[in-house]
Amino acid sequence: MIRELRKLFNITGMLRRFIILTLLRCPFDALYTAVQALFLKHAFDAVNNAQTSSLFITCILFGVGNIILFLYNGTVWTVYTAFVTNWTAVLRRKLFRHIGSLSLRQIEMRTVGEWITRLNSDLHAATAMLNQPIHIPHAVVSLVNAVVSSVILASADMMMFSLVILFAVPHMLISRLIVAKPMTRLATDVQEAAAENASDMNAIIVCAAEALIYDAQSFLLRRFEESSLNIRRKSMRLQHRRALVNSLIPLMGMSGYLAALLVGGSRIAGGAMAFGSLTAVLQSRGRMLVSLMMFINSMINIKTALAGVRRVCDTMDIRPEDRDVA
Amino acid sequence: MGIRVENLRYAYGSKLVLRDISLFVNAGEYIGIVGVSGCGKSTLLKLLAGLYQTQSGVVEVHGACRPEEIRKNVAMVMQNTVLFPASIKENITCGHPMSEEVIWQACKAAQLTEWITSLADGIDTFVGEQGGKVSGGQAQRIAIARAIARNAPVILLDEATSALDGDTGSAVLAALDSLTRGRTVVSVSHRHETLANCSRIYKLEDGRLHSL
Amino acid sequence: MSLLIKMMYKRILPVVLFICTSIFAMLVSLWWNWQLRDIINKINTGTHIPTDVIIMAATAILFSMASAYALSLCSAWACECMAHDLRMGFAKHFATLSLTEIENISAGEQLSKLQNEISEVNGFLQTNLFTFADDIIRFIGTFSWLLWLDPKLTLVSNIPTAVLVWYTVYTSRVISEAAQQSQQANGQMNGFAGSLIAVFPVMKLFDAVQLISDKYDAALVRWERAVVTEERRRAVLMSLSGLMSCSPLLLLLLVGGIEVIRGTLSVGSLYAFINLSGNVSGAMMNMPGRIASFRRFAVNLKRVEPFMAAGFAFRK
Repeated sequence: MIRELRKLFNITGMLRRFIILTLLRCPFDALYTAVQALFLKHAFDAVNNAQTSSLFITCILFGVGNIILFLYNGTVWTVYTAFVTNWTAVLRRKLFRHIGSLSLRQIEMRTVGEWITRLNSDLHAATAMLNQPIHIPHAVVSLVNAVVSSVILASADMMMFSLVILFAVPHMLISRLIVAKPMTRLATDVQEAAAENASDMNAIIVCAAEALIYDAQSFLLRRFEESSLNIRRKSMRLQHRRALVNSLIPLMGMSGYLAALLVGGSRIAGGAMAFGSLTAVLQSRGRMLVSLMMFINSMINIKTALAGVRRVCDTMDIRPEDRDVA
Repeated sequence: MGIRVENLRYAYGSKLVLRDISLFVNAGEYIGIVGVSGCGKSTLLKLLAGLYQTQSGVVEVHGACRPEEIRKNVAMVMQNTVLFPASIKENITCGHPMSEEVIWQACKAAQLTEWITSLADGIDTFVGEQGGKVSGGQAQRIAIARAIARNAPVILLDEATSALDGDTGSAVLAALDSLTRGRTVVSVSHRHETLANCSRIYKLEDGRLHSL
Repeated sequence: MSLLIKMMYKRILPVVLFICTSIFAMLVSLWWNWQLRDIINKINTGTHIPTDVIIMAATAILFSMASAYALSLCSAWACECMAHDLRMGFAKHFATLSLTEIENISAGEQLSKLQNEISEVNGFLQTNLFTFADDIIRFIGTFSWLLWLDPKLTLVSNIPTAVLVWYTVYTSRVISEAAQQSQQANGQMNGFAGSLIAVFPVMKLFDAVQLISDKYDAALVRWERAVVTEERRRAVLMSLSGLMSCSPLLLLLLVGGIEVIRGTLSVGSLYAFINLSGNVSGAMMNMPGRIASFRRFAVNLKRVEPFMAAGFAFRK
């Protein structure tokens, strides 16, 4: 994955700016997690101790904290989107120019549908890595957030942290095995089916006269339908894997929550823990799991988009035969 | 039955390409139309094939006047052969039910049998997008086999023999001979000498037909 | 929009299945929170949690797992079926054109249209439409349940939601105006991709690569400018809606906390409120983005609608 990404950034450049801007996006989620956990802890402590004034102060501080955080996030987001648009434009320009520099023989070696797919779908998939939600930036942000949540959780209650890890690790492993790993292959299958379908569409337009004379429109439509159904079949294979991961979220997440509640409950009963601390722990646990989930989903999407990245890199790797043009 | 064309006019926007064309071709007759590039030969052929709707005048082919009816009675072979991105067999049947015997007879008449049997996938070989995986001569013979298999009473040839090379030219000519034998044929070309087999030859000039 | 209705009508079974599954998932989520409320009340009072309560909670987890799986599968199946119908509608349109019409068409441009505009419509169906529907179902169900549980707390904590609704309608309009410009520029760029392949031999023959590249660059600059404007506006407006969406949690703890101190609400109920506030405020927080996407989708749908006349002609 890293190799493909490096290849992609070799084409476009701007890697350093991307790293800086992505890192600048990281503090928001981590700080938001910390602010929320602190807010819940202090608010529930105030409620349990029946201190209304303390509850008021906690709420005011939470409001002010949020204003600062969202102001920061909005500013970074604005700069990041301008950068990503510029990056996408560079990639688009380079790919277009590169295909334009190939010889007619090289172009004719592949089908029309294949070239159109490389210029459109593959390019969209590759740029999605940076400009679509739940891709690289979210992977980095969620990883940082997961680490921060883990640190908060571990420093607050090591036993609870171990319990959360006990449920989170199998979840991540299963997700990786059944979804992330085969995702690139499944996505490549879909892209190939789309290219085949585009070729069948091309035949409907280009072979129109022959189809009319030989009454073959239904034959061409049937072929198109078959390739379109093939896209659906291939996409459903991919979607099925996603559904499996989505079903794991409640299974592992809710059972982990229940286990944390039961353990926390017995410790509260034993006087070793306050209810406010339990809510803060649960909040950090929730943020940690959400971040891990976002990380898993980002990795799945990145793997899916990698199919496009590879095809874009493959296209850029074709050495033009027309030296004068190249 | 043959072909009957009366007072046919056709224009692309404001540009009139065919003016009051009248033409009668008897059943089983082989006629030729010659003319320079862009004079409207292909347009006339497309009207005879039922590919274009007439704007004024009458086109009757083998007793049919409506384009969708006309198309059932014609087969067409063009210089720039267009093949479907499918197998040789599917290009011949066009997806219609057809017996193996008819298909192989068409292949034999189009001089394709030897070549097909030499292929690893035989008649199920994929011809590529726009026939990209077969040579021009082979593509044209597949198109001829398609026309033979259709068994249409009227055959339309659009510059079908204009771009033949030495190696495959004789095979294509033999295939065309099988296709046109005993049928009503209209062949258009920009070269007079390629219409040697015709019983009558017309010249299309300024949108009008002149007998030569 | 009539095309969307036709598409959904044609695939009524997966659509209805999705709605039923979504309602079931929402009910399971409420049931789980009911269990949670009891467990937290017991924890807070230091009472032992009986085994049957744990078994019920475990059952809710299993139901939740099944509903999440079914929900994902149903929405994916419905989307894929609709995408197939769209592709078929597009192909049927060309199969029914006369030769004179089809001779004036550039195959490359149409292939680009097939892959871009139809893909965008399909992309929206997959990532937004069904999630949007699920959000609405969760919002209605949760809000009603919370109202039944504690009307005062529900209304007070969700007053900002009403402001948020007004704000989202406003922002979605502003975003969609900017989005339309970038979409137009994007359409031009996609057209270029098709043209490049279609005119490739001529371009090579007459050494016109530079000419085409320059034209592409000009379109690219226009697109870049439009997208940056759109994204900047979106960033500002959505950050504000994100900030506003924090207020329900704040008010919940402030008002709910005071109620707990006064003894009119249990801690378990307050916790259930906090847990479920995401279903209400989360749906609202995502609303500007979703409405903006929906408007963009409507523009795309309008663009492909003329091509779908043949494909959906025989459907009611």
